Amino acid sequence: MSVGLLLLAWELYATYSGIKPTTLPAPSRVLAQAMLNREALVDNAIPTIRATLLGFACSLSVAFALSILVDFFQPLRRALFPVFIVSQTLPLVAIAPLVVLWFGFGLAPKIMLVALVTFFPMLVALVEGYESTEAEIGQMLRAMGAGRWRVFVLARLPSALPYFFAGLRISITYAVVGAIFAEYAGAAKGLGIYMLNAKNNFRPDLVLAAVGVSAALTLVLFGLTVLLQRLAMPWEGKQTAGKRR
Amino acid sequence: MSRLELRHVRKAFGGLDVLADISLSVGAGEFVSVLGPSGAGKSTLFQLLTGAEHGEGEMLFDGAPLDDHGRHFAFMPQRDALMPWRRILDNTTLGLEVQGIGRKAARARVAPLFAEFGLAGFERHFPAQLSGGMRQRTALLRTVVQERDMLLLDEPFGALYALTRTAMQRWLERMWRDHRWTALLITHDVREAVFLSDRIYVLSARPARIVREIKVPLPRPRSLGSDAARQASALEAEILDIILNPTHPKETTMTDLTRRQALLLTLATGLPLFAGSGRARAQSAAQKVTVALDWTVNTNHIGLFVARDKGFYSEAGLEVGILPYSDTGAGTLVANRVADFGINGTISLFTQKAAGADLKGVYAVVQSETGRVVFNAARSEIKRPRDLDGLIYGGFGSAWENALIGTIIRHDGGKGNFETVTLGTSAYEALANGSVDFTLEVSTWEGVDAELKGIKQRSFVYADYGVPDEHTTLISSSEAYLEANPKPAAAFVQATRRGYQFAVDHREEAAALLVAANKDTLTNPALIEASLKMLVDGHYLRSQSGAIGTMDTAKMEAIGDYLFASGILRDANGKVLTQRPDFAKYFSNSALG
Repeated sequence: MSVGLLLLAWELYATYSGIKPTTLPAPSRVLAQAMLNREALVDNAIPTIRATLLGFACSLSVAFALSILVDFFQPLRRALFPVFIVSQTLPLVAIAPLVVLWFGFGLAPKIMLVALVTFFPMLVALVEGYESTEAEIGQMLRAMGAGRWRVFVLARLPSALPYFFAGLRISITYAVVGAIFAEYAGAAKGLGIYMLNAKNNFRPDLVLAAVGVSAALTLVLFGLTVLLQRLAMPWEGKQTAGKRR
Repeated sequence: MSRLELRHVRKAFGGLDVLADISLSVGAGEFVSVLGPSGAGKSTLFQLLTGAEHGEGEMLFDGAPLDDHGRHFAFMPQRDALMPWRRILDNTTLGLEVQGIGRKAARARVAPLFAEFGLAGFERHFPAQLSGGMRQRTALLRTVVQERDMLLLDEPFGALYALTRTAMQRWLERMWRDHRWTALLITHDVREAVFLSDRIYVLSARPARIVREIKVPLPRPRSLGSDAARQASALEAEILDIILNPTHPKETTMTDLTRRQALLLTLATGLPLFAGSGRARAQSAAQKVTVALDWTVNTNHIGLFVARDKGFYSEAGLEVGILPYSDTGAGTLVANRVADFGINGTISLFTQKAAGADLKGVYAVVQSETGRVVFNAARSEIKRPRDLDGLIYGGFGSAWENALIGTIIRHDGGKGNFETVTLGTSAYEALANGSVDFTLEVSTWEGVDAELKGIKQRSFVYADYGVPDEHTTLISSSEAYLEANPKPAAAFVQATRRGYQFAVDHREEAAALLVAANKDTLTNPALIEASLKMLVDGHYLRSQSGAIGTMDTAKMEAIGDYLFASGILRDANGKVLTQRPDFAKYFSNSALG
């Protein structure tokens, strides 16, 4: 609704203010051009999706493995977290061209950059998720005779699920932006390079069309994480009256 | 005959005595309570028993020292500690699973108890769907099904509403009569202790010691019959008196210090995560050649695409890969051997080479300067370059621009003072909407675009105001590549020249070919055609004297001298060069044959 009103206002402004379409194209023009160039857009969206998903899969696996290590060996956290925090402060603008220089124009640098921007939020989400385990559950499991690994699998891991999904939702949006940025720094195909090329050809309407595609892509991925969470956490939202307290 | 016996057990946390001296015993089938004020360290006592903490003193079970804590006790924590992600059935089997009993066997053992615990029909529910009382019954079921020697109940009903709590206490009393569990209950609820226990140990405030042991002589089943109720009330009053008027001098403090430990995220020094091992390029076979672009594909690149798609490269025995355009400068890619050739400008060749980059110009894409200073035609007050003094320049962030504009203005008698905002290619939009006063443009690209759109612009040409002419756009390679691959290099440069030659001679076919090769990118064919027309008609690609690709030595030296004199050339450390470099080493026409 609010988006609709915004688009309407934009359309009216673009149509009646006399502003040039090369400065601010109307949404209708963006849409029409997007339809005209849909093959190119789809063609360029596929590498972006691939980089997003592969990069995200990489960062997820590494973050998961490291989160377990950190959970079991607390000193490791003190040792590693500063490095990870620094990794989050690296400005992509500066690092992306270097990564291209080191790893070329292929998929690898994109995966790396996506992994770089999504890794830390996932790691923090997981580690804090483990910490959120109710102290009583841990104490009870230990009293039952469970070792650290059993406590981790039975209690800490499932306790981290809500945190994990919160992190996932944030990271997946970073991931798309990260992939587009990586392409901006050098790519054969992809939404990032498409935007750059469209801009250099004085086609803001196509830039915005690509922005629209990336926004749609982000929304779809976001929706998928929500769906995944519903499936993975069937107990959420199943609450009846008469809860305690 | 006592099962559990504690003798003079003490525990301190960081110098703070929590348990001062605890001695107690629990007999087989006996229900014993430990009653004390909040914060007295009751929970610490259970932590010692379950092995979560270690203290001093003797702890015996059936006369033997307590070592394998898990074996004797089934522990029910303060809150129900149900796992929200497990269904009720799976919550109750948890202890059995930890013991290593298979899921099926565990379920079989728990199932018959569901009715007795008032949970029948709720096996498949999640904890959040149950009332507080049902959750506590689930927790107790989970505890007793472990069939340990003794139950440890840590304020099991503390989190319940008063009415539910009373109902649960009665239910537990009845269950206990049926099962005769050996149980130790921790509570701060005097009525609960009296109602459930055979014996009560009353604890002092911290540091906790046992101030009284009280037998509860009330008959079972505990009821609310008037006699029993009166007796119970008297007992409760006596206990309250003991707790509230302690002989022990220290005042009770109502803190919850021992129960919760805050976990802080602390940060310190760290180790590097990845050892950076950057490997630049895939090894190229002898005949493979890569060329990097300086910008989005445009008409300057036409010779490359023509040579590739008309087969000039393959005729020369080459397989040429035109690398995708990237934000990383083509000169940088070439100097780092990511690409063999790159399109770059004379200015960037000279500045990068001066700073030590391995680059060498091998081909002049254009024969003369394509750049110019532009401003909106409507700005009638700008008549000559010196009128630009004090105005706002929308720039691209290089030292060359400032020197260039300064020179032009000063050459015309101005001061050369202007304000710079760095905008990149957004400068053209900024110029169009008036937020900057002037900028630089490539006449054969932005200039053509403006003309197509009917934007009225006026311009100054650099060479008219004291700036030497230059080959704005070149193709460069590296010394390393040229030395190692002289033949493919010459073949590439010559085939490329054929490509540009073709573009000059067959303008429309070349334009169509460029657009076809870059459908996604070149979305405005009219721009390509007009731009190429200007490149050809303006004698940029082929000079009036017929030169294609050749770099004019005098031009190259002149622009080099200008850059050197303007202090734009700096060494690798950023120091302005004080010695004029040998510009002859910066480029070579030898590959042109």
